[in-house]
Amino acid sequence: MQNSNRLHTTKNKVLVVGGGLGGIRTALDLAEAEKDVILVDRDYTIGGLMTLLDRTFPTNNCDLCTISPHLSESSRQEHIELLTMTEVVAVKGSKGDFSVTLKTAPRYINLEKCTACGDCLKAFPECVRFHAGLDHRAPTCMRYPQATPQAFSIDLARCTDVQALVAVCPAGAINPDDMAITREIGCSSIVLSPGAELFDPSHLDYLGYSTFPDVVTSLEYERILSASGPTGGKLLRPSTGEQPKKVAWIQCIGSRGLQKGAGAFCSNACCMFALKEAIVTKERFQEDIETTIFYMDMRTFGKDYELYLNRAKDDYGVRFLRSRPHSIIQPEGSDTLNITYTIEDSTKQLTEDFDMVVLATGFKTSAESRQLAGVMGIAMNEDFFPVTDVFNPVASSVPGIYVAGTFESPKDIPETMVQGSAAACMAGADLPAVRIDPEEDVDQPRERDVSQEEPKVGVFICDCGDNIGGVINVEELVAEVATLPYVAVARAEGHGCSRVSMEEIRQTIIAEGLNRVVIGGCSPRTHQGKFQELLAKAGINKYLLEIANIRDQSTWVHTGNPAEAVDKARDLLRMAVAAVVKAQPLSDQSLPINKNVLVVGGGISGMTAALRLADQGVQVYLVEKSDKLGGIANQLVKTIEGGDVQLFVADLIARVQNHPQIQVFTRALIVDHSGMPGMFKTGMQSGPQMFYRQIEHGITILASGAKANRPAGYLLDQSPAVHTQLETQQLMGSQPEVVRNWDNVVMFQCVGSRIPENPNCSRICCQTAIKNALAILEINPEARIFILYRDMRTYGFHEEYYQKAREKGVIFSRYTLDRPPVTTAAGEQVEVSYYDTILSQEVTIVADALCLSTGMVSDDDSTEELAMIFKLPRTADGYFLEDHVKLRPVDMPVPGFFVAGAAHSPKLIKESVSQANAVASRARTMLARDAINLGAATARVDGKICAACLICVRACPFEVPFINADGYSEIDPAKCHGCGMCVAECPAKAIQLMQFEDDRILAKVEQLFERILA
Amino acid sequence: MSFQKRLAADEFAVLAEMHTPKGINISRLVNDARRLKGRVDAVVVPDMDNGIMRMSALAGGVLLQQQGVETIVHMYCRDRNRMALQGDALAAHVLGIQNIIIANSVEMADGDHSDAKVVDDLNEIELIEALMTLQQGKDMSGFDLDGAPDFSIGTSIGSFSDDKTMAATLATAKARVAAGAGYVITPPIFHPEVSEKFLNAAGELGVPVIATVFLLKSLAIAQYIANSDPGAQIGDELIRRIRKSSDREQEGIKIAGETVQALKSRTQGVLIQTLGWEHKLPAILDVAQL
Repeated sequence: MQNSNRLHTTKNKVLVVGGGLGGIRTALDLAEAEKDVILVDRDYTIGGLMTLLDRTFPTNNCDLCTISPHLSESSRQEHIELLTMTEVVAVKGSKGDFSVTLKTAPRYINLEKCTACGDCLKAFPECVRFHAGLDHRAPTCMRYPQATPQAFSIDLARCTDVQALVAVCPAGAINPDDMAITREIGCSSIVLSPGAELFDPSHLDYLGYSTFPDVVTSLEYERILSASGPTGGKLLRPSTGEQPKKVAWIQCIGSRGLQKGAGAFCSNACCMFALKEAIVTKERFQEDIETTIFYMDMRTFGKDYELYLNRAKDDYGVRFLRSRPHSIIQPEGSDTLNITYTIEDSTKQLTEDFDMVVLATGFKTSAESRQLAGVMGIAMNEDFFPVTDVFNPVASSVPGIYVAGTFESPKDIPETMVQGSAAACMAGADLPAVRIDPEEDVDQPRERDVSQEEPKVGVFICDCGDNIGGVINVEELVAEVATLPYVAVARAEGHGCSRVSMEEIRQTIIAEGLNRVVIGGCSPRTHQGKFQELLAKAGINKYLLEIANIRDQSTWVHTGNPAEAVDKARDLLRMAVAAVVKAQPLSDQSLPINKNVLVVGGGISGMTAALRLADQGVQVYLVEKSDKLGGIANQLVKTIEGGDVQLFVADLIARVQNHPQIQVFTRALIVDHSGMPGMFKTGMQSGPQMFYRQIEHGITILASGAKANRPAGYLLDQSPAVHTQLETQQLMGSQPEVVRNWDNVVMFQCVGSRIPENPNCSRICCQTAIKNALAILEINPEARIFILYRDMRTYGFHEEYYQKAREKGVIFSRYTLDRPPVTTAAGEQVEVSYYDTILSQEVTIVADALCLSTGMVSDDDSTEELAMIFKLPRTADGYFLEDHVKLRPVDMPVPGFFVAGAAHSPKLIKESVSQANAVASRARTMLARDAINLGAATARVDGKICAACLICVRACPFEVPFINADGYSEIDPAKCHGCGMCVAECPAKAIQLMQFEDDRILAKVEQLFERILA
Repeated sequence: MSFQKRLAADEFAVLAEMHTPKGINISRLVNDARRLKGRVDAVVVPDMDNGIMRMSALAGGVLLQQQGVETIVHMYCRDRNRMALQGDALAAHVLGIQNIIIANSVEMADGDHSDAKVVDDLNEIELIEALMTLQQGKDMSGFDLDGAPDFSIGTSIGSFSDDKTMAATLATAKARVAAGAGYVITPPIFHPEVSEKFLNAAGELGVPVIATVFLLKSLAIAQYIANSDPGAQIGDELIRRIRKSSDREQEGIKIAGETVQALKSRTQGVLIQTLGWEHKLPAILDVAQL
């Protein structure tokens, strides 16, 4: 690696420990912001837990293909050195000057040489490391086909004939003399994201996990569902190999302090995880499989997660049983599992048979992570998770050491991505950027103008070890291809992607004067970038390339039928040759970037993001609608952990107002917006005089927040005893003597939330109720507090406050939507009646205070208008809709726009701070560049054919085409997303999508159907 | 026809407001004004009376006159003493600007230099009297001028929230008219019918009444005015109309144009305020069929 020298000689970099999703996000964000990173992982491939998942909620997509290019991208980044099979041994020093000892175990494979052909695996399957889980289909040490590094690793201890193993590698990559390396590196800051383990239920006899094969953990069930899993994606019972008819999920295994060895916290993601598995099962098998979820509280508190729960119930018919099963047994001679349970309004013991039982196991930190924490010297809480700043969850107890992901606390993927970016923001803040001198000038020859030349195609066909060569005769294929029109050179190239072959191809292009290249090999998804670079190095435009994927699409899928494999490979190659002849040189669009940032919203999120960026020297314009900064936090007193919100907000406001790089506009409303990512112009009116000004900026951060909901009903605003939780909190501060006189206090949860008019969960209200209940008891220990709830959603460590409230005598009683509590005014008091499900009877309480958990709703008028002005999408309930709910949770679909805080969905202060930090980090990745590369796949209009019919103007989802002064449609390539909608709609065929031009596609199609026509 | 002649002939006058830049980039100001040439009778150039520091109105007015657009500039009392005010008035005349509106100043605390010193040497009535004195060839200390200027003086009527404040603001306007103001400019009118009472009362001042028409750019702006300026009487119906519209920008232009049209029979003229969207003025005039 060229960057090794720099990475090892200076301290000016960040060490990221853990190469799961969070760690990768951190490393990529830092690298894209021109900071140096060393990314270490204990495993031999990065990707962590997510690469084991089949699908992800709430979209039920398989996101592996979305994430895996990012993983390999990370290894390509100039700023990242990736050290796999490496652990941290010791740490010395302090923030800005850490010295870390790393130990790397031997892989016995030279990463530079290995092409991941898999020959070693085929010849010596026993020598490879076998991955945990249910991966018994094939012993493979590449966890999935897109693994990074794309290389194998050898378990030398299991290998009997080392010489033979070395000999089998065509690339000569196996090195049995590889040794462990211990090295010391310097760094300025450290990010820990080693992930978490899942709870192991083996010791819990009554669940039978270690006895009955059909009792599996949720991750194992995931592997069974996965196409890359042990059953190849077939849902089969481990015991019989047959498809199950009834599957049950049991929630909270290893969480909420329920079992021996379980954490006291809630594991946050398991409810959604189980829901997803149940829904995917239903999607695939409909009525053939019955799905039942045994749960305590369904905790679907994330953005639009409640809708997911409703879909599971209403659309998919997943059955929900509120119950903690007593035991799972498999009677002698029976092949089904018998679950014994009771339900809440009865004492009767019920039993039911299932074919498979899935245990929704929770998170816990691994022994290795705890050891890592010890080495780092960071404080851990009672649950063995790091102690963090109450307002900044990525800051550990040691300055300069940051934590992220499931290591910080149990969480799902989007929150992990947010923290990954947030940690990058914090860790990168004190490092100056490391500019790499562009090598292109030295390395890159001038691009040859091929427009006047006859096409001269070079075809290079890989055998990819036996992957292709083992199924078909590559030489014969080469001979056939050589006869095709315009083919000047056809050659077998062994491993085309190896260094040697790449250099050979480059020299051939130059020597033979080739102007088009076809690679017959593997997937363009993984290798296109590499070959495009090769073309550029050979002096021809990188878009004069076609890749025929004869491995994945031919020899892999038709291994057993060589004749058909050859036919298909031939077709693919003919198509590629015909298409590449029509290829034209294209240039990537790029634009200079304006490095100012507009932040919309002056609450905690907006102020935090503004400060993080301004501290890096960025000019920030902070626009606030109301007359003062602080947002909804101005009404809060304390967090559940005891953090002083007013102190925190006052400090933020003072820093923002005094910052020379921040201009604050209060009472300001955005009225117009134009431009493109990197060059926006936004108009606003501010102050009582509504002074209009325009701001030029490259990035927009949406932090416009949400508003406190105040639905009518339950005598709110009618009885003096009825307050919202926000008001209750203020009352405790301003009039504690009133609170001291309360005998009975009742709290209603989900007021205005989880109802047909507003189906989503407000996320924050359960913890708010617990927080206020505990605070009331502080002031007035004699108060009797009743909390009427639907599901207590005290996720993560909030669960422990929930337990504390129960211990202190707070009474929790569940109500259902079809039988809500009833309130009657009674003078200064209010009479509350509800049906108690445990007692099975109506209960009436005369309450001195009724506190309504009213939650938050989006400020619909305000977000609707911002969405209209900025042309951004929103959710049905009015929150801004991010680009990818899983993997890009703070990036908006329009480049240059980011979203943080409650404008995204309701959230707590610390969660908003994390998002604000994440947004600052994402913004920095853009600000580090001087220009934005927009790629070359854009629509181009032929003005001579265009009839100005406006169809493209209407078809474009991004409102890019317009009729220009010359009377034809014009598409700004800088704005075009390359979706091709206008291309498909244009009746005159006047629009072409570059890289996918009609003649190029047609040439392919003609080749494909030639034989049929003939 | 010049603005003065238009008023004198009892014809409907159309004015547009244009602000000087905060800075020295005058291209927008000049371009916007050029586009309006021949479509409005005069352009009103406010000064820093709204509390935002920027290029002075006098320079802006001269600039537009050079483009062949008749201008009216604001004068106000908060930032200048009687020496500076008289001097500026003489300068205005010499530079070809004779139309002056005596404007109310917003509180310094609401401006963007809230720590600036407030002068308030004169009040608006005294300022009008001072201009009248100058026209008679004398300064405020009674010394002779070497050449007397000539002005056409108007004044703005302050905003109000109820009948009581309306009466008070009209009483002030009356005093200014008595001092020499030859026409009055109203606060923004959104519904000529709803504001009938006010317009009638203003008509009784005995000078031409020019109604301000304010371009609502967005729902948020409309809501902001509805909340902060109850006298504007925006009304729920108008808010609903904007909310329902799929193209709010266009809707705002339509509303402004329709308001101008409805005012034609009720007032002596209109002043269209677009606050930064001066490029939309032609579209508003199109809707108003002017």
